[in-house]
Amino acid sequence: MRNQNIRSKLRYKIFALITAPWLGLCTGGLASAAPEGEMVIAAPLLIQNFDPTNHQSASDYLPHSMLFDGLLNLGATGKEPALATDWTISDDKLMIEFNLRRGVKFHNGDEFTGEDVQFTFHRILSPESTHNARKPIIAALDRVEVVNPFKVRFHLKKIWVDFFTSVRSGGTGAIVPKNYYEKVGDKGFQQNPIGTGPFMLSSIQAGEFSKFEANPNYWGQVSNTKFVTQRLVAEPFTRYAMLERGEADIIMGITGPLLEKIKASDKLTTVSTRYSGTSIISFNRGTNPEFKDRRVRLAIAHAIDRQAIADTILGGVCEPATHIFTPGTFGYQEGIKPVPYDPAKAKQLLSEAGIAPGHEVDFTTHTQSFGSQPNAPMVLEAIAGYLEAVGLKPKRLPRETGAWLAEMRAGKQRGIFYGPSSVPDDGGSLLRSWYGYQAWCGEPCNFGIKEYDQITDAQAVETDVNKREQMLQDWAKMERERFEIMPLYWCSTPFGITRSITGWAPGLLSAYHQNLQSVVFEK
Amino acid sequence: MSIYLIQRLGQSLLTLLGLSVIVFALAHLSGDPVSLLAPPEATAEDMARLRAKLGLDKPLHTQYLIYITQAAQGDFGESIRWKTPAMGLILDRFPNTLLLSTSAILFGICLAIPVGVVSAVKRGTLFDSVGKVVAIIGQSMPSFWIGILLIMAFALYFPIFPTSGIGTAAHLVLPSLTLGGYVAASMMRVTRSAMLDALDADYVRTARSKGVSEWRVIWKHAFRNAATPVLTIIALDFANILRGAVITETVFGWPGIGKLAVDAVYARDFPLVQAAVLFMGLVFLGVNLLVDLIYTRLDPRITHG
Repeated sequence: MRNQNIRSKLRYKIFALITAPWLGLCTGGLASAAPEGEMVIAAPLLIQNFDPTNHQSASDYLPHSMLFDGLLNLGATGKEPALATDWTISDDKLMIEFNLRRGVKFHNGDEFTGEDVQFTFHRILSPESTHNARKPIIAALDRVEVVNPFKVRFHLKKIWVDFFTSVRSGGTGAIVPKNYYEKVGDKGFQQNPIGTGPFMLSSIQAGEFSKFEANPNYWGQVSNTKFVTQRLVAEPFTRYAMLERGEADIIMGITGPLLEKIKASDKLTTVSTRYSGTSIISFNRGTNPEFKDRRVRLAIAHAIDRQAIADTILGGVCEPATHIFTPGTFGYQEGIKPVPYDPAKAKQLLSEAGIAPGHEVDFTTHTQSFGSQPNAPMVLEAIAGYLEAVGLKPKRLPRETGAWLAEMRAGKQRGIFYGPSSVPDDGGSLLRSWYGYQAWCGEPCNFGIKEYDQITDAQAVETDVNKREQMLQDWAKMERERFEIMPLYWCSTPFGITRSITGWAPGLLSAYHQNLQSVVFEK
Repeated sequence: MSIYLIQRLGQSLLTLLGLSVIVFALAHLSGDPVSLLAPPEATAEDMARLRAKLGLDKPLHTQYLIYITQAAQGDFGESIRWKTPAMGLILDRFPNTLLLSTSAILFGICLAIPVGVVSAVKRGTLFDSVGKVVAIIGQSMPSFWIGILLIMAFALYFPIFPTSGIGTAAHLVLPSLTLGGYVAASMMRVTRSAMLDALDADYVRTARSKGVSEWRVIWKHAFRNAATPVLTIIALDFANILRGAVITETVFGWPGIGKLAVDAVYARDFPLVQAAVLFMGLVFLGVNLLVDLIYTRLDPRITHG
């Protein structure tokens, strides 16, 4: 009898287990939309590094630009006050003095003062810092002096033309609260970050979502959006379906047919961050000496129908670049002509250079997209196909992102290799990164051209903005002639949005500075 | 039985220890997480500093000893990517995976066993042929495609269910159908095959000649004897999807263990990869042990020890 009772109870439990989800289905809500006042952003990436003093990559700006402020903003009109109200530069350009905004509170109620500015930058300077932009900061910044609670002085070791880019909001100079940080430590700060920014972190689920709440005491424009949820949704079609259903209000990482469907929809629309990335094809003259010949480099450019790739694989998100500088980059030179698609010319140039049909060239392909170039694996495969069409035989060397980065840092990339660059705001940094003796891609990017190296060094200390711009523009023309590197694409970052969002202009050059407090959100 | 249990638990422990060595070695062979964490422009010194911060600068055997000693105390380290305890992340996700797996397997059983049994009973009929075609389609259609079709049909054209995520029972329906449909196909084929063998057996003929009702012959006599291979395939499918249905989880944004583990592999998040693989190994061993014990209930001829 006892056994029968146990069996009976067991059967009941099994029955309950089977039916519970389906009973829940009947009694629970069916399709669910986001709660009132909550803006949901579905994206293929979720960044949960909340400590700006441990900044790792450009995508960290996604949460940092919501939680923190810098001393100033770089807007359409140039430098705009943020946590600093005004600033002066000494005659020798080695000291910059900031007057700080009074009455600004961190999310925990602590008052913002010069001690916080000093703490933030000295933390980046400290030997244990792993901040990714510390190299130029260490090279140029000597110390930060607190003159009084609302006045700080930056003392530089040398002239630093990128200084204001570094201390801007959403840049590397996001200010953290000294007292709170020292109290909770870096792990505690990562769990509960506190800033002065327009949003406060309310909850996270690691690897799933981050929820933010508008900061009602924000010193600037208080967001009309009460809550923002950044949610990781890896599948593009699912993101599109979420937007269509109203489960998401903004989606990122959309190209091709899905983007067209959004554009064609009455309920949805798109906004775009223009020129948020630029990409190039470079050539290792060491592994493949034939690339020392300009005709071979030009032949490769003539061989590739970049417009066709842009129209098909890239779904209109990217346009063929005429130069590594985008029209939004400081130093951009108008009027540079692109190399047209002309396979006959490519064959002719290869023949003139003594390259026989079937000539094998190393060609690094990618298994994943990295940086600013969408669909990089398919783009590179298409390029390999175009090279085959003009008689070259690309030997594909597939690399996943980690292996590719390790290869680049060691300067061991072979033959034809690709390079993307995100946030291409300053021509000087693009020049330094991809050409010459300081290039991060090592020896294969050091072309040994004296003029290039001289311009790289001279523009880095030129404090006259007009002169510096002219230097970069002159270099741009020179590079078009020499054609050391092949410009590939200028890419934009489109966002699919619902009609509940108006007045949003993500701006130029970075998809990671979303300026969400400017959004008018009605739901 | 208790000696058998102790033996199996001992074997499981050794298996887990071996697994820990293999996953540790493979994770470290897959490359350096610092190469992904550090920015492209990072110098050798920057990378060395980051490597030291993550404890990756020590010799490999020292790293393993530290890892296994801490793991034995329940500390699997902190996820490099998500900056939170690795095992905490796994345990957070496991109930979601368990819910989806259970729901999918129940859907699979409800679909596959009746269809498999009827296909065997009505062998060679139109029903049997349709059943075979459905099973082949179920196994050959990629689950990401089925998932997208289901979202299109039942979240966009007929907006009955949410597209993705987790929260209400409604969120469970489409991923369960996707995953359940896939496992149902293999269950259906095994059920049909096992039932065909059972229906040809002497005891079935004897039962029929004794005038036992056909319903009772099929379910009480034949199906009970055909249940062992069916149970095996159910257990294997269940263990497999418990370890994570990566594609289904990705399409439906379901916060399960499989997607977490695969993302960790791409990010070279060693602590998370190691914790996930050991946990999945534990689940697999646990389910296998449970099935072996259930065999003895289903078939008294099977004994342990």
